[in-house]
Amino acid sequence: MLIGLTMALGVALFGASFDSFQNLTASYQRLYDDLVFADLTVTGGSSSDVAARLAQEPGVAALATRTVADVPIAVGEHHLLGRVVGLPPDGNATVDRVLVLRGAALDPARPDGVLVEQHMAAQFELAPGDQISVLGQSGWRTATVLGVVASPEYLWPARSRQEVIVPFDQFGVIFAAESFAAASPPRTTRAETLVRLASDAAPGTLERCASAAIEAGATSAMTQAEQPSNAALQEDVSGFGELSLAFPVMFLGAGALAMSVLLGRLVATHRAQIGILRAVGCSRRSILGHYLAVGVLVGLAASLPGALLGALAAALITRVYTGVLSIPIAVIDVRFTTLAIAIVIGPVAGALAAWGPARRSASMEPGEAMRGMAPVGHGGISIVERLFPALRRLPMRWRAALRGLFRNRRRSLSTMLGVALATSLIFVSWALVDTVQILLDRQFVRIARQDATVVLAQPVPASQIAAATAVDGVAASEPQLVLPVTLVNGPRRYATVLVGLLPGTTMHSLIDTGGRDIALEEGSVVLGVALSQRLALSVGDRVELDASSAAGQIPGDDPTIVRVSGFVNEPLGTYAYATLATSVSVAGLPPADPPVTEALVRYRPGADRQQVRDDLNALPNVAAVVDSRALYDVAQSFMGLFYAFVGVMLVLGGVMAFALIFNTLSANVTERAVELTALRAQGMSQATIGRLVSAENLLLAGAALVPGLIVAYILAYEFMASFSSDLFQFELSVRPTTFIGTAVAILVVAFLSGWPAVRAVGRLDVARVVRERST
Amino acid sequence: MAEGPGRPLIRLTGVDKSYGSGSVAVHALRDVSLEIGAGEFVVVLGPSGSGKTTLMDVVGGIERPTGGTVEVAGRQLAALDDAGLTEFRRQTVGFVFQFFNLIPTLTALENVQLVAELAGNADPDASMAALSAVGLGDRADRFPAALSGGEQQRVAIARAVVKDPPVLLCDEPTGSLDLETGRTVLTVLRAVSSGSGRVVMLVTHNSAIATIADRVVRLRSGRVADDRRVANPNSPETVTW
Repeated sequence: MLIGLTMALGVALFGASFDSFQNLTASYQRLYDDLVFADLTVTGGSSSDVAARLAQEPGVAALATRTVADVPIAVGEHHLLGRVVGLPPDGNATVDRVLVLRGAALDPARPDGVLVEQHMAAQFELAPGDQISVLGQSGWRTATVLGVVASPEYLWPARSRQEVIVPFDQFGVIFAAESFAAASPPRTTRAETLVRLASDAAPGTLERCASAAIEAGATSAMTQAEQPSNAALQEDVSGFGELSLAFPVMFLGAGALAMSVLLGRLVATHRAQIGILRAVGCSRRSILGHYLAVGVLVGLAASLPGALLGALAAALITRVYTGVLSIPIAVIDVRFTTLAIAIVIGPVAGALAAWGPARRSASMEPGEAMRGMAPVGHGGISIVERLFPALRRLPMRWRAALRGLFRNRRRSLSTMLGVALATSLIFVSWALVDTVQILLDRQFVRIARQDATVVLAQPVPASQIAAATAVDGVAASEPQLVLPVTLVNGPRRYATVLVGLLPGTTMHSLIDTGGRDIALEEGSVVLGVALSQRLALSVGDRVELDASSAAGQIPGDDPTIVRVSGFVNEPLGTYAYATLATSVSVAGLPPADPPVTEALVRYRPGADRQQVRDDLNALPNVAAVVDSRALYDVAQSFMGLFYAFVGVMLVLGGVMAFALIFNTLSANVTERAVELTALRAQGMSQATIGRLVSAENLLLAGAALVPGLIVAYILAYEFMASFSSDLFQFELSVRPTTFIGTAVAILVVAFLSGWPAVRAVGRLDVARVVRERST
Repeated sequence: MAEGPGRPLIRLTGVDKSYGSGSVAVHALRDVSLEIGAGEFVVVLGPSGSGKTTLMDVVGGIERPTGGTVEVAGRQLAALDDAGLTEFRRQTVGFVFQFFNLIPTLTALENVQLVAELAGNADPDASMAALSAVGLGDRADRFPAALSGGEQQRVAIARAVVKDPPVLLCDEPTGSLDLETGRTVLTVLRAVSSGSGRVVMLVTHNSAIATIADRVVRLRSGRVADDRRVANPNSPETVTW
């Protein structure tokens, strides 16, 4: 039953994860198709020139240009970082449309009307008719909410590839008429050209369009795959795809191992019957077919409920996932291909598991088989005793337990392999939690040491930043200059953000891949480690910083070329860091006391965070206060999902290990029932026999732990690495307690799973069993 | 009832053993009374279903009678709980069964030593001495798979006697052996009983083996049908079946 359960779990998890992956992919694709999600988003240059150039490219189905502005927004007293996305006056875009969920579309007769992206609307409970304030060229402007919308660009409201996780109360997106967007402060706007390819566009069209856009003067071209919201969601969804392969391999593999052990035992106990059947003329093929059929039937019995459960789970997962993320379209299909595969993989696994025992059964010679006594092997000093001769001084009962591991090597190896699989399952999920927890702490405690980032409505000289943020509770304040740039090294380009900090800043630690602190040097730049490969750069190389991506933002000169002085390993985002002076130079600002719009502040220990934040928000020139702690809390809130995931994996891993060990131990006890009852007859107590059986069991599990943890570590490393990109740097970080916890969990399961067998030994009828032949 | 030499080491009084109940009850032993003195070599003879194996199990404390009393080496078995019976078997009884039941992953010496340690004797010399007494001193390091059936049975005998039990119970010890090997085993069994004061109770259906005993107790349908001393026991080497 446990074997069937393990296999059924494997089938169910396959169906659930594979179909969830398909459903979510289809949901996104349907939404993207309906809303004509841009295949390419081009930034910078003259959008009309870029659009004209791209219109000449074959395969381009639609083009659109727009203005996007990153400006503060106020909802009541609350200020947040906002983004205004320009749309045609009637809101009917040709590319990157929005889906009106509530209210109405833009109205040319209502130039102050805006559409609010659904996450912002939910956060602030905004409805049609409500009013918000948006910073414009001449100060704050009042806007009226006409509708609440979903956008393919903000299914996950990421601010950029560098800021994928932003608290919903600190970043919001609105859609407004192009004229409204264009009326934003000049330094905040950028021109974008949106490209949608035809469905039958030739391969390479995307790359050609990107190159053409750059040639036409654009600074960056971002594909749909690179778009922050899509990239973040696809990272998530791809996890389902990976699990749909990993889970069935693990669970069906474990189930098959257990079944192989069980069938092997069954064949051994059936020796005499097999011999008789062969003696009376039953063919080898019939014997083979019989035991193969057992495996196939068990696999089928597991597949049928597993496939059904998987299909139901996929629908549920899709519904919950799209609901939690507010994806407006949920495609839930029953895929008969998935069902068919799910139904087939169980019997296939069962047949593979049964193959070895079935072959052994068919290869028995009738005479030998009818004698009923299975070859018990030659016996021998175990390898462990040869390596550690001191073990030969152990009391005999413990030596017996040790040698029991090598008695049936195939069975022991199968069980160890299965325990190693279970160990991997538990360890990888636990390591995931560790890694995320450690990286979050690293990001928000060690690296980002400010308590808040204050965004000013109007720039102030850097020297006056402390005064501009002087409220009770603020212990320190430093200026920060944040500038969208494109890093260029030959044909390689990467759009990111250049962060200008004071040399020797106390607000941000720059830590290289070796864990050492890096100091900012004038005229150089420190880059996120992902750029080392992306841009083929090393320390000492020179890289071009192009700050002209924001149209009219900064009166920039030719791109600045600086030296790469180091690479930092930061979990979230891939930034470029420079001294304030270097950034000012890149931006083309006056070098002496340059105007800045951001300040990094640190609170006094013990200060009331909320009060300080409110006081900062109340300052006349403060447009928004981004609380670092709030971001940390948002990230931590996702940990609840991780812990739930780990909890489920712990249970599943425990079930897997339990099934395997219980199965093996039951086979062991059955095989040795006669010996054990003979010892009972000679006066060995049931408790002692129980300890022997348990000891062998724990030794088996313990022996599997070491290779299991090694393999698990490698798997965890590869698993984390698969999620690493310029969005996130997931470097595996595992606490020592995780190794210990995993080992303890496996040993506890091993102990518990052996208990039924130990009790079974106690219930053996000594008088009867002791007179049976061993089989 | 034949009287044996010395004080009774084993005393059964009115022992009944039944399995099941009502119309399907099987009476394996009916009102069996028996005394066996120290040093006696007793063969319990009877056909299949006569109750001879049950008798041995009751004496050895691996079955509880449904009626009557069983006293072995001065201990009333009915007064012992499961732990008590286990301890009784550990200290008082050695068993030899038809199918040897050795642990295949332990050598001959280690199989003997396992039981010796159980009885509180961790000295490997005692185990070697037991093996030598059964003629297997030079086979101490062999594993069971490398031993013949007779050799395995002799290891089983050494295992049973290494703890120096007052009572040695043997259930068809030659049942799975050829004649020559069987004679060897019987010779060993006689050797470990003579002069030691140990009771050897050998249960068999093979009447030829009864000729080597000091005393033969015949069972039929769970009752003692006959109980007589053998005036001149045969040497095991002369037994034929």
